[in-house]
Amino acid sequence: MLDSIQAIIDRLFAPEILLTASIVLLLLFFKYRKFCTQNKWMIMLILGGPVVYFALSAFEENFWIQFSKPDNLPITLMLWLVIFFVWLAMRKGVENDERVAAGMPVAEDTKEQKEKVFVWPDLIYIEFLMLLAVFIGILVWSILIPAPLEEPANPQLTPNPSKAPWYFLGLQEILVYFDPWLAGVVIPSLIVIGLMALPYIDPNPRGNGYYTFSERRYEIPIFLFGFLILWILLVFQGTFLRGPNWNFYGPYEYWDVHKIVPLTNVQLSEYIWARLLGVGLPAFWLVREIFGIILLLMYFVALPVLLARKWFNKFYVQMGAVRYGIAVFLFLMMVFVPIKMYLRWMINLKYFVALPEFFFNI
Amino acid sequence: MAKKRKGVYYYDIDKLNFIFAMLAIATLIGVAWMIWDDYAREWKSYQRQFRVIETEVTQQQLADVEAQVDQQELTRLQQQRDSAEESLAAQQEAFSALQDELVSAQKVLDQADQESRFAGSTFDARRWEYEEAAHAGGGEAPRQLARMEEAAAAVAETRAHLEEVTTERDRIQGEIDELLANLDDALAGLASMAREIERLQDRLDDLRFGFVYAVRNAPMLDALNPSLRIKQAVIDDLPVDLNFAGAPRVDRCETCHLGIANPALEGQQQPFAAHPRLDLFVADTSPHPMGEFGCSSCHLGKDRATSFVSAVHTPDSESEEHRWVDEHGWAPTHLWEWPMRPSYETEASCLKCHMDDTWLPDAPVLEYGLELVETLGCYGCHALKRFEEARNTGPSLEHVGVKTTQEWAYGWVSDPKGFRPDTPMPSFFGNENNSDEYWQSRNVVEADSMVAYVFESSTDIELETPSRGGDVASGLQLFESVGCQGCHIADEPGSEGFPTDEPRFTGYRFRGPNLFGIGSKVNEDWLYTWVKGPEHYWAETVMPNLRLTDTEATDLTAYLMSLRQPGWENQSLPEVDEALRDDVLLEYLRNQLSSVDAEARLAAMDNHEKRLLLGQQLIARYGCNGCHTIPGFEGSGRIGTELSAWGSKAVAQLDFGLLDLPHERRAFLEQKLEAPRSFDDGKVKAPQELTRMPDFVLTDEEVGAISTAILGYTDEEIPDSKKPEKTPRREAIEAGRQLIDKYSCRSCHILEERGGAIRTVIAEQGMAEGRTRPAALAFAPPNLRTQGARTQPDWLYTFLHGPELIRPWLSVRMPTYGFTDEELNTLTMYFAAVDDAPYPFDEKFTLAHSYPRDMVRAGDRLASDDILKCFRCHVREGVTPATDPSQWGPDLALAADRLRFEWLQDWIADPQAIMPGTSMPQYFTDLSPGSSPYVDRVRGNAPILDQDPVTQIEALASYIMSLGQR
Repeated sequence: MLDSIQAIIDRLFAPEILLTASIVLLLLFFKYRKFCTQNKWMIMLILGGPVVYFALSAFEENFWIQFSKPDNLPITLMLWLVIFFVWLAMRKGVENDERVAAGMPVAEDTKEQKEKVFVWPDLIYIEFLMLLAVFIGILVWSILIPAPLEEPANPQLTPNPSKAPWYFLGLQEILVYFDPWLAGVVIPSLIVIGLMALPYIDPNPRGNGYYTFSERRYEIPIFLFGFLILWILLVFQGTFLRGPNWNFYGPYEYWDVHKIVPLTNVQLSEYIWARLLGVGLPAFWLVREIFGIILLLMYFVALPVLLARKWFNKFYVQMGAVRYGIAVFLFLMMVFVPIKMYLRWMINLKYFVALPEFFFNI
Repeated sequence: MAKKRKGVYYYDIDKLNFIFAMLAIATLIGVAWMIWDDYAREWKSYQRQFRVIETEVTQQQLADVEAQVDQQELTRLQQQRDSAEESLAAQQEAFSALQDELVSAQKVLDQADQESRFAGSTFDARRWEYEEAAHAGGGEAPRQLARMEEAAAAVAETRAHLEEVTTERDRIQGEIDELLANLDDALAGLASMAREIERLQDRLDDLRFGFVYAVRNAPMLDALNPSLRIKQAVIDDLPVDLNFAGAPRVDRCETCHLGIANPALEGQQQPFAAHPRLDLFVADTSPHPMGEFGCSSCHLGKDRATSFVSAVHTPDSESEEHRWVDEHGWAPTHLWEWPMRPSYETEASCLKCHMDDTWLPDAPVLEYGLELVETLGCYGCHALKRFEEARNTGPSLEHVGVKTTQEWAYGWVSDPKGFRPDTPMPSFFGNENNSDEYWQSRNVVEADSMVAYVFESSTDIELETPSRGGDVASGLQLFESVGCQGCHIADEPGSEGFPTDEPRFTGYRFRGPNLFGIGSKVNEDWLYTWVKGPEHYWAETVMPNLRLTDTEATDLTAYLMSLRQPGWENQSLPEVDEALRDDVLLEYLRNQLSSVDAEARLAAMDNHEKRLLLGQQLIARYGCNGCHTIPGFEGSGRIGTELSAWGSKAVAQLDFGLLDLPHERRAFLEQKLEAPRSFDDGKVKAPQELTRMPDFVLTDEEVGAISTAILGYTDEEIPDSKKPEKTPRREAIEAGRQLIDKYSCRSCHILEERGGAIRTVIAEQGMAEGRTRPAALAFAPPNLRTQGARTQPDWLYTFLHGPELIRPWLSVRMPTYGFTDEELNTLTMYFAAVDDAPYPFDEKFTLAHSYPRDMVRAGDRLASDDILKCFRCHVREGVTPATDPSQWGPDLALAADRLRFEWLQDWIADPQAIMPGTSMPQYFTDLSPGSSPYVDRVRGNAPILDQDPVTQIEALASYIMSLGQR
């Protein structure tokens, strides 16, 4: 009984199911945000569920091994904190939305909230108390859980799995699906540039200084998709589910170094030329990769134009061509990541465009 | 959250104060906890325990020292002191006056000294001023000169005064000293008697747990000068390998192992015990002092660690492991590639520095393991340092067709241990991964093909045939007497009379194959030819030529052919499943050809060709040529992994398969040796993917020893300064030792205190004939102790080249080895080097030495039957004495060309010192001048050479040396 439940959960944590389920759950959370933030049972489920799940699972040996690693403790804490703060923001946003709908000012804009208080003691004192509390917490933590030092590094024998620092595990996960040049250089640069560009792309003043959801019903889901799904979820995956040889392991699965999974991937050009057209691969790279190139051009050039005409017309009009172009490129780039992941899982697609001649693949 | 305002502030300040108080207390507790956590170290409790132990030991030592005090001397000194004090008291007045005088004299002296120093510095300054003025020219110079001279006069004056007052002071002091002399003398005597006692008492004071101890070791204060402190030895030139960097080795083991260098603590409870081999290790006087070699360089473990678990101790047994888990919370750690060696493996560490040492008598397990590696021929498949030049372990198969039959060979290859359980030849078939039904048929095919290839490639050589039927009884007699049993046994293992005093495989008497059942293996002509001259059949054999006559060889052959193994007579070749053979061959052909080509090739071959080709492929796969010379495989490489750094191999690189083993090098290795193919258990593999290491069927002890040896092969780089020094003498010794091992000299001779295995056989035979054991051993090959000092290199060279008879009454023979010139030189050099004797020349025998006539004559008298009766036992120019042969000694006429003059004198002076157990009596027990009891009885007890024993010995030696010269 327990074994089969564990086997089912292991299966549910397979990357394709986990990613899909997370996206669906996130969408449901947005859709039923009032229910999720105000129903007593839902609150208990969302905030208590992960705690109970971790607590129960800790009795399982393999789960405990990963869970109890000193390195992984902060990540477990982070997971819960992220859920809590997203939930809290949504709860406050929903409350404010209701107040606005009823013609009242938002909670942050009441008379009481606007009143001034003393820096000392009302601010400094509580900051100092918090400082003490955190100091005690860290002190006790450092006494009870010694630093997780490992063996002397050996360049001829790297650890298996070799993991990036936890905050880079999302990028490392993307490395599985993209050329290192893209996953290691282009995408991280775009994340940084995109974050810097946000205030210029989105000059909308609404939502400044108070919680809201309905006033920013596109911006918040898009941002949270990038943050929760493409960053936090991938960090979680990389920490708890990626084991030796970067294979996937369920949360209750033993990390067997010898586990072997089939990993044969195929280029798009091979699919089209060899399978679809039934001829060999052309020798010249441009001809060989022409379908992939066309496909990418359609995605990154034709699709924005199409979107501007149809579904995103409102934004196009609001933002103007330049700002719209940048925003939609960043958006498409972000969506490109899960698209590529799904294609890998479904048809073992390696690259859309593979140009080993130039050490460049997409 | 409903927030209420209190007063003018947003928060309730009383509540915040309360929280602050709670947090402050928690912080205090947290900080105290942190300090305690940092302070309470495991090693401190050991150091506290050790102080108690050391106190006890020191008290014991103090009691011993006090008990040993010479009471008489003590009383004498005390009386001297008392009387001196009395006499001093009697002169009290004069003494006080002198003391007062001394005080005022000293005062004057101090003043004079100051004045003198002032005058000196003034002079130095004025001299400089004058020099400058003179150099600059102008009118200033004369004035400065006058100033300088004035100062010089002051210097002379003050110095004279100083000398005067110093003399006065010394005079007074001298008078005082004279008065005190007696007392001081007594006090100094008493102090020197009490010095050791005081030292011990001081130590006891240091060890007391008192106030000073508490303050010095209090938390925080212990940063200043604690008495509980980490002790470490820093070894720069044996760095810890941190993969891409070497860190100096910092061994902190002594922090807990506090008694490691103290012989008084031998056998103490750990961690306080002394090292069990302080003669070899740790002690400053040993060859491996701790300050130079540290601990972890041999024991491994984590050098800098100061707790039981982090030092990576390794338990010796499961029960120890359980105890450690309970007592120390021990757990295996994978974070350190070098866990401490369990105690039974420690010797492995010797090898990294002593790689070039042929013998390692102080590391018996390691030595045994290395001997096993050599005997079993591990290096045939695995490249291995030390064994780069080693010869093939198995016999050459170039002419095997004239030696035995294919039928026997098939049985042998299929199951060598079935014919001879103690053969080093391992089993390739019927192991863990090839015993199922399919493999049973396939094994037949494989063994049959390999035998076919070997016999097809074998070439014939001419054999001699005995001219008549031999006599088994005299053959047996010959076998037992001529020396065969130094290297060969002819008994079934486990049967009565099978030797158990030596380990199988490596024992000296196991150097040659067990001849049990040999009659069922070889043919008679081959055996006859072989015993007459083994090199004819196999040029590289180490089996020597015993110079058997045709009759002897015939009889010996007859005896050996009578040794039969009933189950191995009249065998036939197996029925081979031809379809299966085709499959197997096809499998091998596909390694090089496409399926279509392989099938075509197969179809084009007849059965014989298939058999041969498959045999060749299989010999290559199993690496038979690693141990045997097989035509067609000249120069082909080794099939196994190189093991020369296996002891450093990362555990993560070992494939433990599906076996439930601890992930440690040793566990892997022992499993590999015990059940080589078990790593395939449960794995799905194609036939050629299967592991192929054969099964040597080893005992636990053998497995342990080999593991220890292989684990000693590491990739650590050891500086020359830490290795045994390489001197020409040492290299000569090592080269000789290698030859001694190669030709198994120690099967018959004792060399460097070991060997002489045949002595047990000879002693048994002699005792069966009613002799005592020492008398029986007189018929054994000689102990070669001091051989280099004893014999002349020329003679030794000649003798080893073609032995001559020295002790004709022995029936055991020194065989002819057919040594090369290089080997002969190596051996003669070896013997000289071992005894540090001059080589190759020596005045005494290189220049034609003539011995003074009167000495020779005196020696002749001494040796005569009137006095020492030398020729009662010694042969003289071929004339044997009348006594029992067990008392005979070598022909003294051979001495001139054979012996060294110095050695001969040492020998006569004390034979037992050179050769314990020799029957040569010691005639001169007292070597002091004039003490010799031997007088010339014939000439009315006239003294010989002033009765000086040393001169008499020299005379005897001169006489003996002159015997052969005549």
